[in-house]
Amino acid sequence: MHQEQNLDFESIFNTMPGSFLVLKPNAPQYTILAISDELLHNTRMERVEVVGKGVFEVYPENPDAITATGPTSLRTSLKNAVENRVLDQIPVVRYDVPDGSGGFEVRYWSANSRPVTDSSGKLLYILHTTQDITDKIVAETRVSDLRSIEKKYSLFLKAPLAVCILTGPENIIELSNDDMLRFYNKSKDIIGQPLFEAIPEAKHQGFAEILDQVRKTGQTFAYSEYPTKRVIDGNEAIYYYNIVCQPYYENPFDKEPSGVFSIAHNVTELVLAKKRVEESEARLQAIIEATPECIKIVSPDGLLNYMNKSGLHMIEGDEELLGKVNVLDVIAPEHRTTWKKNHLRVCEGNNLSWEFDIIGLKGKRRRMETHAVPLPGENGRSQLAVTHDITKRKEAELALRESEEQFRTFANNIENLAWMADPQGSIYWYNERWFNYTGTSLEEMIGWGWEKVHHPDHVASVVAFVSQAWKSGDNWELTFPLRNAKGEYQWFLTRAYPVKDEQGNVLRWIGTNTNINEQKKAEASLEAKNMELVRINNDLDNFIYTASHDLKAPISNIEGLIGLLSEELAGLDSQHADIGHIISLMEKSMDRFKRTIASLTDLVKLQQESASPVTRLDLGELIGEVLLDLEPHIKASAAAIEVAVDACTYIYFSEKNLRSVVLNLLSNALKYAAADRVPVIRIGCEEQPNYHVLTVKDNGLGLSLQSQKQLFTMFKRFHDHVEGTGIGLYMVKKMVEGSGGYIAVSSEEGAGTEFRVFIKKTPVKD
Amino acid sequence: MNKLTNILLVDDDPIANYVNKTLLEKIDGVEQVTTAPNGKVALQLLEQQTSPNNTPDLILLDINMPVMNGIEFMQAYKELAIEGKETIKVIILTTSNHPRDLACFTDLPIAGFLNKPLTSGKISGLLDEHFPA
Repeated sequence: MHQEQNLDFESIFNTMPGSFLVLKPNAPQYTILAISDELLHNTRMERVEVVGKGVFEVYPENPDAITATGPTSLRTSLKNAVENRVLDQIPVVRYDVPDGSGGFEVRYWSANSRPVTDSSGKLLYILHTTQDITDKIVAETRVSDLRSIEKKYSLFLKAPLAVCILTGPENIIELSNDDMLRFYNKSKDIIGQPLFEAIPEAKHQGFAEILDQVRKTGQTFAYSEYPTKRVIDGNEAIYYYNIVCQPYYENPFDKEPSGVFSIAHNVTELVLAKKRVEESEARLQAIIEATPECIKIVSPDGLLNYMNKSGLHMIEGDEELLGKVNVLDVIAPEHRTTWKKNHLRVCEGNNLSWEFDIIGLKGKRRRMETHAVPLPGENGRSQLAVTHDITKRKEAELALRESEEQFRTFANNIENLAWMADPQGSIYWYNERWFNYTGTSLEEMIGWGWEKVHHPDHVASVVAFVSQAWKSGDNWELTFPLRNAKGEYQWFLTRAYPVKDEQGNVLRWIGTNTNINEQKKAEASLEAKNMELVRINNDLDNFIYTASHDLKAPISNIEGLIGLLSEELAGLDSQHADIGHIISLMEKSMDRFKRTIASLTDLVKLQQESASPVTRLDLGELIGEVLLDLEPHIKASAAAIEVAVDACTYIYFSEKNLRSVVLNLLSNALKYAAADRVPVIRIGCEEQPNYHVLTVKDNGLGLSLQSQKQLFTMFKRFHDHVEGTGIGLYMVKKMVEGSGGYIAVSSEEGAGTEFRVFIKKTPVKD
Repeated sequence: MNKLTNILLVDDDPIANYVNKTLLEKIDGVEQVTTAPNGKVALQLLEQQTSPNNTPDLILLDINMPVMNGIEFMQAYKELAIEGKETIKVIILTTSNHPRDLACFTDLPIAGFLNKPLTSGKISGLLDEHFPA
């Protein structure tokens, strides 16, 4: 038993199967008091290196594996066992051990710490039992890794990429994912077959050459947006692929590639989207370049980053300037400060519009109007501006101002009153004469203030008229009275002219008021005179009428009485031979008296009928009718009448008057025939540019030169052997002249007379 | 025998009335020639007639007269309602052949115009036209 009591427990402990440590509870060192051989072997340590040293000194933390929880767990476990005198279990932890060459070996452990006490309960040691489960953990990890690879491989093959591996010069399809099979519309059966036998169309897409090249050179072939024609659902379309064909080697030492690993990624949508963006950009660019305005982008420091062609033309530069020149260089010096200030405000985020002058690189000055907005970019906000060249507009405005100024100067120096109004008729300017005449000021007159100087009886009609006239856009005229500074009204003729633009829009009205007061007075006086004359004329007319009538009554009585007397004395004739003769003379005197009165009456009639209507007359027919009326006289005198008026068939004249003209001339020709020869009367007509000339020529008594001069005078008679009142030719002359013509006579005493009646050709109106 | 027996002369001029009355009374069958100095008197004479037997066959009417002229008389005469009016012939006897005067009788019931002075010749023409045997 004694022998048994001298058992070498240390040796027994050391050789016990399992990994143990006996530790002194001297935290934090935890000095190793004993270690089992198995643990020494397992951690590649010698006992002398271990016993007497702290456990964390012998098994330090692997600084490259900071996530390994072994050392921390051990410390916690030991502490728990010491302080709480309980068995502390450590789950699986990684606790790397030194590999003897300065490095560490990955190890996984499962362990527990157990307090060892004497019979009084005093803590003597800590027994730490551990088990190396590294192999088990590693094996578990491998399975997990494999699963992960398989998962990734499967995911990779399911990725929206066409993947295939082709081996050998025949390009045997070693692997083809679903995407690739779908691409060629094939099943998995093609795997193991040569590519171009399984998919002949692939050969024509240039793949054969690519694959050959990759295999021969060992160089990877990569192509972006490779276009491929494909038919999907019967529709042929171009599809785009990013293609990578990469050589692969079976063994790392192979010199020749075993085959080609190929990946194709469908980027059609991307390419089409890109193309759409490109097209849209191209369109935008075209619009920008085509616009006649200047479009520019200026960086915050004033650098001209972009300018379209129109803009470059305005600054007399070219695209070389972009990104190099500062815009201030072309801004007119006097406008630079403002431009810079505004530019900065735009870059701060404001929208602005303003005008400035530029001086082109070749020296041409232009007036510009710009509308600028901030344009966000990588280097802060720039200025994006659309700028118009308004030089011409400005010049036109200036010219207009100058011309207006000239007009005002001119208008202030004319006799008339003058004004200008806007297109709606609101007057905004009067010349000085207006103010001098009316005694008003512009403040009183502006707009529609002119109504104040109009006569109350006229203002309403004037307003009504001009309101309409402004709308018409045409020249207008109106007369109305205007009050002068003394409060008197004088008549003015107002004329207004619209000033229009090229499109015909009224820009303004220019008007003048001309004083026509004197003229108005003269007109009024003339009108009064005219009325007086009309009255006198009427009185005269009435006088002649009354005179002829009042004369007629007693004459008629005398005639009647003579008739009675003649009857009463009829029986006494035989005793008083003179009675018959006396009564006959009385009757003759009576007749002459009556004819004179009749002529006076005719004259009144002619004056009253001067407005008889002008019609188209057949001259030949009319002459024929007159000749018929004169037939008894023609027969009595055995006159020869020759009519040749075919040259003027139609004449425009009052029928009654022309009949009277012809009748008078023909009856005169018959009356004043020469006693010693047969009367020959020739009636003719000829056409002249402005007249029809009616001629009546006779071979009668003829007239002396003196007589011809007085021929057309009223009551003038040159022959006393025939009846006449001396009024016929006077009336003929009046009738012909009244219709715009005239009458001429040529005569020779003893040979005959020719009358030429010039009848105006065109129909005489009124 | 002429049908003309009763004549009314309307004229303000007594000389004309004398001459005309003298001439008219010479006509065979004329029994009565009455004179009136103006239209108003003539109208009264017509209105006062009690029997159609007294109605004149012919009225010779001057135009220009005081009180009521020939035109005014005719306007009144047109409206006048007397027995036997339909057989009366009204002849305007005038010195005027002025259209202004003649036009006034348009639409008035006149039988014709005669220019003064009345002569035997004119009377026989009148009888032939209006009072044929």
